Amino acid sequence: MGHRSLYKFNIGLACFLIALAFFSYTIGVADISFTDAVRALFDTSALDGAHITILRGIRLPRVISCMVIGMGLSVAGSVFQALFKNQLAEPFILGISSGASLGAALAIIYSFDFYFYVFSGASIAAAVFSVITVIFILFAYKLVRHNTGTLLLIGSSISLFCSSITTLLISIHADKIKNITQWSIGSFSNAGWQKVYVTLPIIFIGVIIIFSFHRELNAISVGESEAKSFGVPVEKSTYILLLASSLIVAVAVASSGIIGFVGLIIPNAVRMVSGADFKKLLPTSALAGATLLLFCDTVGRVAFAPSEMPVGAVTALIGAPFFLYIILKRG
Amino acid sequence: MIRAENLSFKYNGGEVLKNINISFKPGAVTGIIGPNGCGKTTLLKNISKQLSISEKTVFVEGVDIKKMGSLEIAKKIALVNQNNYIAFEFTAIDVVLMGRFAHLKRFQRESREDVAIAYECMRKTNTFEFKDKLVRELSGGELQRVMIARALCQKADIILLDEPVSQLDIHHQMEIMHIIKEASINEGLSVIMVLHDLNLAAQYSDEIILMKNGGVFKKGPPAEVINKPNIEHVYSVRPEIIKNPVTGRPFIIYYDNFSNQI
Repeated sequence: MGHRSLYKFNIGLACFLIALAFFSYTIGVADISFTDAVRALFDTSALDGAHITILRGIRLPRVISCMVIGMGLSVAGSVFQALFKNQLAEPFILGISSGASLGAALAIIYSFDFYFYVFSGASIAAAVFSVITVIFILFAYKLVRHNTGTLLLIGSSISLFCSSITTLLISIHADKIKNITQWSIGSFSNAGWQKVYVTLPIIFIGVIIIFSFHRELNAISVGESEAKSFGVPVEKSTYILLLASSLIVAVAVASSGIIGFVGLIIPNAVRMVSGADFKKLLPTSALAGATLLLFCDTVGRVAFAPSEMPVGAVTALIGAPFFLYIILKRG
Repeated sequence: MIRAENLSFKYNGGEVLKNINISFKPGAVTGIIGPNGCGKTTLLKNISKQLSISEKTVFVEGVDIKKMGSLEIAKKIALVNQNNYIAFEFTAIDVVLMGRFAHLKRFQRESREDVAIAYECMRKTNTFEFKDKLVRELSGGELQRVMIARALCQKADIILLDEPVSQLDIHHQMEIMHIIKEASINEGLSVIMVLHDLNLAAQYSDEIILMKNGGVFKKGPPAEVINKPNIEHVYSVRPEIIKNPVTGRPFIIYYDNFSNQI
């Protein structure tokens, strides 16, 4: 797709995203009329206090959280794919999420009941563990020297290892099982403004750093030796990009738990439209990621109302078959 | 131009380059030949600082390459690797434009001039017609030409190529060698390439470096280096060398070393 038509595509996508955000904000279990929801955006004086809380205190931050985290996860996913030169690289598949779950499980079992700002001990432990896992994967990657097939297997073994420890912990501490399983499936049911205040700036900074490295990303995804010959300081760029993307993942995990496959589906689907050039891929991925996650969360919220389906389950439901599709397509 | 002084290099396994002292001829096509494992590719990776080398062993226009930054090197030296598999859906023009990396600042967009340079390099390499095609869908010869366009687009004075034609049929081999030779003649580019085919090396090189066991065995014009005793000694084959009736360059006919039937 050429520059101009991609530009139009992005505008169309942005319009759809705004419409979706508006729809998602106005719809919900609470019986609030459409006009009231619209009015609450501008003028709160004439409305019921409880409704105001639901609209402005719960739905609005939730919509924003979905968009920000969806954007962050897809941009981070596309970075992982470039760094590991593999279309299937994604936080969930590389084992980062399992590391995060293990961290959360440990925190829940050993009752790290403190709160740092709005983040529970469990979510902080999860963020820390996801960063540790990234570092571990990076070392493994250096060790296997660019062999990305092996890297995915390393990811799977990290994943299995962490989840088996988590299972072990659960079986010993059966009383905590509900908290842990709930945690391991990402959800926006606890979204609030305070979380937005943290996730939004951090994810935006990470995304901007990544955007500014679009040429490095192109070069590195072609090959490290090639990138070096173009003049890219490969190691330094890799560390910066990895830091930015794992920060995004860590913040996303801390705020809404594990949401898999967004970082896999979006860059791969968008590449079919935009091509591999990161200058075109990143902005479209950011928009599409925001759209997908908001869509999944809205579906999860509305489809089986009044009970709610966690967004992590919805994305996995779409993502797992898509993963299979990419593998089959690659042959 | 590039000069190597007392250049040695070790991988974990052992010494691959042993005390190499050479200076490459500026504006010329230099062919590096030698048997498998003699250190040709390692030499190429040393003089382009792809590997981490010791201080004061490689100099680019008199400057120690160890002290040069990656951008600085990229403006002087372009590299075409042997294996060019690309995992993503880049188009040919995407790849060629990557050659402009060293000339662009972080927040700078590719200018019209950059695109014009890329187009010009694609025309020179006969790749312009498929500039919007995905590189994954190109044939071996087409892909190799795109890689050369990308290297030309870097506007470096020196181009290093690692076996640029080893996987191509004879027509495409000639085509690529011709493109490289033209670039050297028309733009004064210095070309250093590793070649397997001795006859191609003899035909297209201004200078030949014959390597053996990590060292330079002989260096000079094709007619001086490619002769019966040198080839026999380095490759352990029985060659017969005639003069190519068209080019006047040496032309080798090989016989194996294992039988007496000629």
